[in-house]
Amino acid sequence: MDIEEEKDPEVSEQAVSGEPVLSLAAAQDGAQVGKTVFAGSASGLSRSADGGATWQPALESLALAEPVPVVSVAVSPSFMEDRTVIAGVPGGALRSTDGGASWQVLPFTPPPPYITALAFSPRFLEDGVILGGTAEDGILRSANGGDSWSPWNFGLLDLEVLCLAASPDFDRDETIFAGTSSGLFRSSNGGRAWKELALPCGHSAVLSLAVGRVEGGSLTIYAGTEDQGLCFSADGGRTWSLIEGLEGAVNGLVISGSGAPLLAVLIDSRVLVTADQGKSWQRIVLPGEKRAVTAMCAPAGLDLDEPFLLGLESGGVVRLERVGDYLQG
Amino acid sequence: MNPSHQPEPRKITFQPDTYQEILEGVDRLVNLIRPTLGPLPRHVLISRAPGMLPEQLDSGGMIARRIPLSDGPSALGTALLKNALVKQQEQVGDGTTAAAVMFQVAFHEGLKLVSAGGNAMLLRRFLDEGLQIILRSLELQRIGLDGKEPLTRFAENICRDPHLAQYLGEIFDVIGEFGRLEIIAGKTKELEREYIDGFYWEKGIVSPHMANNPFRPEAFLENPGVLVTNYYLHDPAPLAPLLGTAIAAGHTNLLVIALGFSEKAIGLFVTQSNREKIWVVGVEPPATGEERLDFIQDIAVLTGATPILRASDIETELAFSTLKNLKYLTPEHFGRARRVWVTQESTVISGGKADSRYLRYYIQDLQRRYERETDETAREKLRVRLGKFLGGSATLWIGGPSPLAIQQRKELAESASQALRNAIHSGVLAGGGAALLATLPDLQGRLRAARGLEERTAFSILIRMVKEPARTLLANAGLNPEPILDEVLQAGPGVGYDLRTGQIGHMLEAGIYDGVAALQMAVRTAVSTAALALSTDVIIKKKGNQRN
Repeated sequence: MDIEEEKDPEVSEQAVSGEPVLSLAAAQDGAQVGKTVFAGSASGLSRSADGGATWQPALESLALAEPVPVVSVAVSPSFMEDRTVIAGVPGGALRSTDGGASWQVLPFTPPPPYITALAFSPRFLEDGVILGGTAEDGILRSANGGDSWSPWNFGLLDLEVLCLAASPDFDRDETIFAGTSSGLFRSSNGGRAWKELALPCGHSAVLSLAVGRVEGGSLTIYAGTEDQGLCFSADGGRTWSLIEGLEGAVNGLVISGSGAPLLAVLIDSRVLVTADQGKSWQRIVLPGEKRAVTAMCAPAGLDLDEPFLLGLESGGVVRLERVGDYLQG
Repeated sequence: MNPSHQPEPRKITFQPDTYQEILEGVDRLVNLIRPTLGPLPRHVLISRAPGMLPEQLDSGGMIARRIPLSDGPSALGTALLKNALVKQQEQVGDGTTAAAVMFQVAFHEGLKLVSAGGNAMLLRRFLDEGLQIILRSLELQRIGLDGKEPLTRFAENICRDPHLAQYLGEIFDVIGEFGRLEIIAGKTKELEREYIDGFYWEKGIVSPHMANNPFRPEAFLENPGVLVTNYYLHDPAPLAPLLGTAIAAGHTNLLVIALGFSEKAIGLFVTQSNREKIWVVGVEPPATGEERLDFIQDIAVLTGATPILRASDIETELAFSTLKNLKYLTPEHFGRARRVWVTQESTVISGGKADSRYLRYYIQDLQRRYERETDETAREKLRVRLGKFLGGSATLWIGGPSPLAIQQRKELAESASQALRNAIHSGVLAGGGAALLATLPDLQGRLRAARGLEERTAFSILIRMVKEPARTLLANAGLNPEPILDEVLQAGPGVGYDLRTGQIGHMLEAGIYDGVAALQMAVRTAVSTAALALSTDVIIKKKGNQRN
């Protein structure tokens, strides 16, 4: 019997820009799952129509005199129908309603906001709700697909918003979380009023968030901090614990939608994965030269058998066909 | 001789007439408001000036407030209960009718004992003991009230106006317990609301020359510096260097909060040469004395400004550093904000740039003081200050078909908003009388252990009393209360009769709530007022001045 020697799976890095990749977002509905992906960087926005295998500049139609940094990008949950993408840029946001082919500059009241994070309502097609987290203006909320925005900062004691994450049942519970430079806040009315959640690490900056729900259970929330590791709540944010053994800035989090509670953590520039709420970890190791990861995205949802995208400091994006093949204990 | 120096004629009433007089007054008032309890209330018409339509009311609290006191022998009983009910309405916004019907039972039953020679003071002692048992039991049933839908349902239980309840539910879901809600009589038939996100106070622009809105005397400042002082800015001489310091600090807009501004000071701020470099808008602080100092402290914490205070105020213990003279001002003493709106009447600061971690500690300290404060006025001031940081501000315009209807709806909205604040703070429990019925096992257990006549009577009275709101609700709906009450009691705690569906079920699941604070106060009002009435032996009345 022939025994085929097991080989390390290979990856190829696709150049997206010359600057570090700051944000990645993929269409997650219908036939577009994992196909259309956007990558934001200090030199603009790129688009892939083949799940990250190849990339093209996305903002060319704007004929900008100089590149505009794209810190945050989000794809509509009903992308197949509305083809909507929003990109946060210094001074406002850009919107495309044709899948990234053309873009409009969205209107904001002065002073111009710096949009650092974006979150769509899962019922965006019906309610038109998008939330934007900003560097100085707290939360901006649009209920008409981005045509107009209003600040909703009742109870938000820190207006420097670094990340946003909506409950998987947002259409029912209207719950959304905002990580700020000094703590974590929750809104249970669709982002109009906020209450602070007491994290075990005090008023550390919350850089990243992931919210999931195990079927029939409470909301599971992970909050990645700048200097205090990863905080975890299994009861919707009422009580928290600090996951031991993680040191560094938790720059990104991706959680599986339901079922097995997989979590990917971008800590400093490496990616760790846990399937047991942080009790044990495996690291994603790329073959070849060491590459610093700056962003990540699971275009078809986080699953060991599905593709996974890594944005790199070099400005490239690596697509892992099966993320499980790259895990090392 | 001046007739005003003559001793006023007095009437002295002794037992048994004392009880009789109180009883008549109490029954007069309770029987008037009893029909208003429940979701299917009957109305009470109160006549107004000749030629005007009578006022139609279905709120016990509003009726108690409106009811005039007569000069008759029963006036004292009416006044005794009216005062207790008005206090209940003002403090918690709900529970007045429940308090009234419970009081009536307690007083009537207690009267039987003392008329038969029982010891009123001993009865009072056991009533007080039973009161604590009820309050503890209610405390254990408390759940939190959170979210737009539960808040709306709670508001509807209070005001019985679904449209108004929807607005109140949404508003309190946004502004929370501490936020400011201004309820204003509108000019249309509709309800309208507006939210103001930021630190708000009711003082406007000091001079229209400072406005930068071409159409109105209003100003909008982006990223302004903030200077706060309790000096009156009279002399323009030190203000020129002040502007230079602000410009050196990189500010192109400046909000100056000062006790007052002379024409010369305003003139300096708005000169074209200065305005080309920096746009200054002046406003005054909202209050006087200690409150003004609190306000200045709040602004300092919000924006990171170092206040410039008169020496006498600097001696006060303050939680921030201060300057005593403008001449010491340096760029870092200016506070900063993201946006400031100033109209003719009000000012809003949004996005103060102070240390957000220190802001948390400051707010926590205010919250601790709020929880500890027992003086209602001081507590309200702390709530307002907390609201400016935590809840922002909302305005609700009340519409209606006529000025009278608008006024009534406005009063209902005010009561309901007070009840909502209390319910968010203290929680809710099963409505429809179910929470009170759930105290019965504890009271019955205590009755079994009772020995003397007064002790047994006290707990029998309380058992009867806690059933009375549920009994009245059923009777007001035209039902025979007793068989339904029996069925409800057999079904267990938290269960009641839903008058809207005609079903027996869990009240919390059906969204039928009572506020903990309102219900606890209603029980306290009923028991303490009954105990007071039962231990009153002599009434001394100034003739023709019974209202006092």
